[in-house]
Amino acid sequence: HTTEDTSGLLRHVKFQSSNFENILTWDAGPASAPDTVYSVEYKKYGEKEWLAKAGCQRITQKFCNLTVETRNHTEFYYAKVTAVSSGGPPVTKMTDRFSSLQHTTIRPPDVTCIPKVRSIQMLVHPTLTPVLSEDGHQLTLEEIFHDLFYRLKLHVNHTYQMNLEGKQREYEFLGLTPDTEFLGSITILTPILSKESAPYTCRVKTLPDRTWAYSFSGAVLFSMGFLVGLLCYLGYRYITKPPVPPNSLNVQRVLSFQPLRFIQEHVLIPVLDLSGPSSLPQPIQYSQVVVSGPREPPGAGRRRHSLSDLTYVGQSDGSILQPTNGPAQQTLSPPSYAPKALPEVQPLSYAPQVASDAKALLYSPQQGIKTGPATYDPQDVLDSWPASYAVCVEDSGKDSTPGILSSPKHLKLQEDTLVRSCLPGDLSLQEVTSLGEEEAQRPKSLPPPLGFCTNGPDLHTLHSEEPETPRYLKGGLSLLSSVQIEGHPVSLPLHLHSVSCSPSDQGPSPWGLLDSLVCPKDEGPVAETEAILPSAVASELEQSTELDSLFKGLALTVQWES
Amino acid sequence: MSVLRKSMSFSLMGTLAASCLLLVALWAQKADALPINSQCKLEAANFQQPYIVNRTFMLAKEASLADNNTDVRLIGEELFRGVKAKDQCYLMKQVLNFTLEDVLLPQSDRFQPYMQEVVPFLTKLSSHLSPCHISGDDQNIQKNVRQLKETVQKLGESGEIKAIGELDLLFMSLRNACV
Repeated sequence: HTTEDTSGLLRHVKFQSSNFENILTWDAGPASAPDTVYSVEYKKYGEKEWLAKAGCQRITQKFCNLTVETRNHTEFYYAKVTAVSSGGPPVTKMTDRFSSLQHTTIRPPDVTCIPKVRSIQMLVHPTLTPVLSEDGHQLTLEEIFHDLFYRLKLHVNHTYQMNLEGKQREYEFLGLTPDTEFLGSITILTPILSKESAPYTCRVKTLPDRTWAYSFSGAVLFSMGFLVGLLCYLGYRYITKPPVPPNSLNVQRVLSFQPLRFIQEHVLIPVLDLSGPSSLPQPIQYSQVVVSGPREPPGAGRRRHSLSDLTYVGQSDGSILQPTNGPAQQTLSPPSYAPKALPEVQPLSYAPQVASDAKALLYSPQQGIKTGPATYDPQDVLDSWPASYAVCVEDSGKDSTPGILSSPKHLKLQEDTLVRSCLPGDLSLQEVTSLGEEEAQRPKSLPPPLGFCTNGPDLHTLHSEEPETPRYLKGGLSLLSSVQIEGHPVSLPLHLHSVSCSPSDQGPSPWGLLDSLVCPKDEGPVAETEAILPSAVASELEQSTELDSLFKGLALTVQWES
Repeated sequence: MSVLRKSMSFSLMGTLAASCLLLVALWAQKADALPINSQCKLEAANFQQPYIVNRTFMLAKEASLADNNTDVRLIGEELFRGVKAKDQCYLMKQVLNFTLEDVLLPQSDRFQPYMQEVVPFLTKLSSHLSPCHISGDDQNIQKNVRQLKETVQKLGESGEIKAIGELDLLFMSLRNACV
């Protein structure tokens, strides 16, 4: 040593090493002056030269960090401090031979303590050191000390503790009491060099056992979920619920419409049925019409006029237009006549009714004369309306009774019709057509509106049938007689319609036509009656019963009219 | 035909003889190699006894305090210069034997009570390494050991103190080379 060591200025020069961080420290002696400064030098053991530590020359503090200079843990180092004070010689003092591997102390480990309900988990984190490996990366304590391990303790109470040891970095103390405080400690040990770190301590409290709380919260969550679901369902139903229909679309109106539709549907079905069979006879009827034309040219002309009159009476509004298009209407009328040929054919089968009709015609002229002036007056016409309605009602009631009663009803009706038919010839023709229709309707049970519609074509068909065969003529006459009886209600509404439309114009023309028509019909019935008389004795008996019923009927009708 | 048979038998015998020679040669090589590797080893447990390790280090520390020569180091880089890694254990065996015979024995009365506990430990290690030998050239080893001996002798008593002061280096070097 260049200078003698005196304890007056400098003493206790030594390395303080912890986790391989090497700090040189010293103390000033009692003789140290306030202006004393210190300089530090270091060297490796076995080398001759001392190296001055930069940053630690002529310093006043009493420590110097030599970690970087002494980081090789397999080497031995020396360091010395020179104290310089004014007024005295410098004093130098050297450390003992220093080996960081042997001398360094180990600091407490870095640990994370995690409390749980019935356990405590401890995680040990690795500790880096300034020591470098050959490739230059920092080494951990585990890499330097191959025999390093951890010792863990858990103090449960003053008399009991749990211990764990090992090299791994994760530990867990199990079987603890919930909601209880424990004291844990972790120590690092290296047995070969007898190194032991100071313990790391952590005071932790286990978590409370809230199993009931979890169950309760689960129940609460479930109930809340259920409520939310219920609300969603109700909302969905509310949204999808159809709105209340406005008053304009109330149920009553809907119900009122539906039945109408159904009725129409039912009505259409029979029309289709009628149209089906009618399609077949149409061509036959056309041929008949054509044949009748050339045989009786003057009669055909009159019939055509009568057809036009019928159309006028049937459609009061359309009658004004029809005269201008007369030929077209005449051409159109045949198709409408065709479907009604079948009902006209059926009455021919009723032979006994024909006989009764013929007898009734014998009495009809006298009654007709009496009722003539009444029909001319408008007031009488109005009175006759309810009478005709009454007759219709009675007929319908009597029809429901047995067949025997039904025959006198027909006789009564026939008498009435005969009386009316004498005066208005044209009207009588119309009545005949209407009676034919009614007879046809009764067996087929057709509705009344159809009857009104078929007035015109029936007349045309009857006219066509008469000239062809005498039998048909007889049948037609019987039909005419039957129509006369029921004709009263039919004729009266027709007159009313015509009067309401154009009484002045229509008044004289129909009367003229009627007068012309009355003459040929009067001759026709007489011939028929002569032929019927020699037919059979049985028919006479029937006629006697019929006469009784006719008288009864006549009395009833006379009373109503008065 | 008999001539052919004789020639075939001779060739077969030749082949067998050659095969035997090759096998013997291979066996000899293996025999030479195995003893060296297995005998130049010490158990790790010898270096994991905290008490004796502590005593050895304490003895070295106390002696180093008496050594004021910081420029000379006996067990260092120069000692291992030119020596292969697999031969370093044999080298340390030579140093250990020199230390026991020429250093510790003359100074057995000093540095008590550590000395009386460390010497038997080191003697045991030396006996475990007695079968350790090397094949081939050991000139570098002998040269380095000789240089160490000369340094100690040149320094005299202080050299012996220095050698005792480096027992911790000897311990660590033995562990690194022979374990």
